[in-house]
Amino acid sequence: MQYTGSVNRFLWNYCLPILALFYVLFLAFDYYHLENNSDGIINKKIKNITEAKGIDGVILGGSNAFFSLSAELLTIDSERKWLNLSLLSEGNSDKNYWLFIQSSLNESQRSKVTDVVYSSVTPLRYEHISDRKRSKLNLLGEKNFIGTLPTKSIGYYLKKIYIDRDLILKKISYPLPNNYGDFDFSSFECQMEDSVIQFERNLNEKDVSDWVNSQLSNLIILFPKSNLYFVVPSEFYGDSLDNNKVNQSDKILRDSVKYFNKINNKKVFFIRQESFSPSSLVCDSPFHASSDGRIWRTHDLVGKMRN
Amino acid sequence: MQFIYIWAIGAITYLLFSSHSTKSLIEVISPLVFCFFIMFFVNIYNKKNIKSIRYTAAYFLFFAVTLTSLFGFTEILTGSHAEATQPLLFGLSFYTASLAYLVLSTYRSKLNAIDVFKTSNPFLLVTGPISLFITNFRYRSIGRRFNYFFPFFIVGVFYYQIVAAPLTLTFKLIESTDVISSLLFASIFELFVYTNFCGLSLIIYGVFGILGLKIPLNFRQPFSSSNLIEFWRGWHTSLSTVLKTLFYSPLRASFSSSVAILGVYLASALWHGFALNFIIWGIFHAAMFIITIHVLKKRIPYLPLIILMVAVVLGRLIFADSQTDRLIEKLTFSYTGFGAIQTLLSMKTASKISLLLGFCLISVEFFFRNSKNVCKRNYKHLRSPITLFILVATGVTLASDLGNNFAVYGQR
Repeated sequence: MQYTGSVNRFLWNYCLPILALFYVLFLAFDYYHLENNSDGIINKKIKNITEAKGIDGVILGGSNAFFSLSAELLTIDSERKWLNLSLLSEGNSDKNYWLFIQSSLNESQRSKVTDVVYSSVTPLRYEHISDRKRSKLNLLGEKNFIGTLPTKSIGYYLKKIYIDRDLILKKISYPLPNNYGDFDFSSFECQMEDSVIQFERNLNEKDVSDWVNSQLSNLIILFPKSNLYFVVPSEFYGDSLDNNKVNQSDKILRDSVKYFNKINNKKVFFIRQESFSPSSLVCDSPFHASSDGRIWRTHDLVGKMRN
Repeated sequence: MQFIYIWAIGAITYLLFSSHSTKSLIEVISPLVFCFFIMFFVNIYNKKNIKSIRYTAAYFLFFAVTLTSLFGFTEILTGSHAEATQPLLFGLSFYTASLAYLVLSTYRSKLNAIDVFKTSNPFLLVTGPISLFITNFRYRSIGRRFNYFFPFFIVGVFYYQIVAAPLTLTFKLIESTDVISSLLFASIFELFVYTNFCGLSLIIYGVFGILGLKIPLNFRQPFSSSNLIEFWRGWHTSLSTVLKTLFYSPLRASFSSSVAILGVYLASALWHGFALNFIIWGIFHAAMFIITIHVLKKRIPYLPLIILMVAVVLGRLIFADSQTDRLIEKLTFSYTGFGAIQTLLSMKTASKISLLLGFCLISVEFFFRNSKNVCKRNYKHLRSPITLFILVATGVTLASDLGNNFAVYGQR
């Protein structure tokens, strides 16, 4: 009994506090260890805006648009200046993103934009709408303070060490975009992990409809004189694609845009882009095109915008 | 005075840990204001302590949340709402149930300010009408209180954050209607509700204990049960006490026990909101409960256990899905293969680990239910230093902000 007592005391007085201290140190490490180079990407996009002499069209949205749509190709195709202002994780919340657009493009610049393409995966992911509402992250993906929970677990880093010891401190850093704001594939190696291919759809009509209404309202306030294109992005799900759910989701989105147009007397164009096929058209996620995939998706978009 | 102090601690903690300051402030203040309003209203109309007025007030208070859900002011409580839709009515179901209990059970003609501060404590508005049963035991030293109650806090955090939160990533399974997906989702969702709600209750039990206030254990290892009756004795005990006082005892005085049980389950169903699936759930569970009583009387071996499993999983399947057409489709039990397993396997590793941990914890509760440390049904098996060390080490390794950590019974 005496032996058990001392083991218990040792665990209680030394092991548990050491674990707690270790955890606090890890939280600090996690706080200062941002992985995706968001700040560099945002700064470059702002620089592109300041350097542009007149902007005719903008691409807005999340990483799907960053990877898979090309402002450069649209500029060449239309002979008008396009910029890609999409951000990774679409700025982590809608509020962050609209504030970014509002602050980086002044009112005069926005009023001269004639075409806006908005491509978001938010309504395609289960619970993503409410996740973005709840998000505590800023535009860069940082927390406002050292929280009680890390963004990645210690287990995640241990797994990294197990796979490759050198990966532990290596950041998965996305390269800076080009002068149009497009993703620079020449400095990035595409590699798809099987675990990221998870088919999802948000089929909650009310949630989706409210979200579409909110996003389009914001777009109309920001770009009052533009043609708005609400784009459902291309994706690659291979065998796990559920066509039935895809059709249900598309119908909800199409009806939501139609309803918005009706009650606001507007004409927002709804575009559904085809799925990526074959898999070589995607990079590191079902919504991120490869270099070839971006050409294909941008041409598909141009074709649909003309129709 | 001490309840004002505890209320203030609850309010400050709630505000510190919430992301939307204005909304959270409303969620903290409005229960207090509503409780004061209810206190004045009840005290004015019940000056002479007339029985009929007391009963009307109590049942009106209890079903207030049914009415608000019927008219669309609050959502129904399936357990999957991660955010309260109406901050003004935050915690309504719990403080009205608590006040209803006080109006009917205390035989006092008036509610007082202590009742208001107890029932509107922001800490307690996510764990049920547990505030009714607070007792003071500050006579014990802080050191002794810490040594006894801190382990509950650790177990609670492990349940709530390490097991429950990553399971929210599996919720998309609710959309599939084939039998395998439906049963799989029901089982995972049951595990989520248990670990989330029980975890939060244990955290609050631990914090209040350290502060010198003892509240009852809201969960008493329900999965250590061998039949449905035992299961309900260990599940959300504070609400069970309220239901017993408000419904079972009055109904039993005039009707058979079967009618009283049906009344209790229907009342419980409506308390979760006005929806068809809740009513089906109430009738289903009442029927299973009554059948269990008869089976136990006839001493048929294993059947109570089988009924328990069927009732828990099928009950959760019905309870969790408020979309009637989808629920009906699920209840046809159509078989389309094992695609759900594939979906599950393709989920994030963290969710799979949480699922495994959750089922291990439940298995320990169930298979070792007669052993010395488990049979007391107060999580003693998880509170020994070596188990705590394992829980903390596992928790530290797996903790991340993956998934949603919302109070399953706190949001509508």
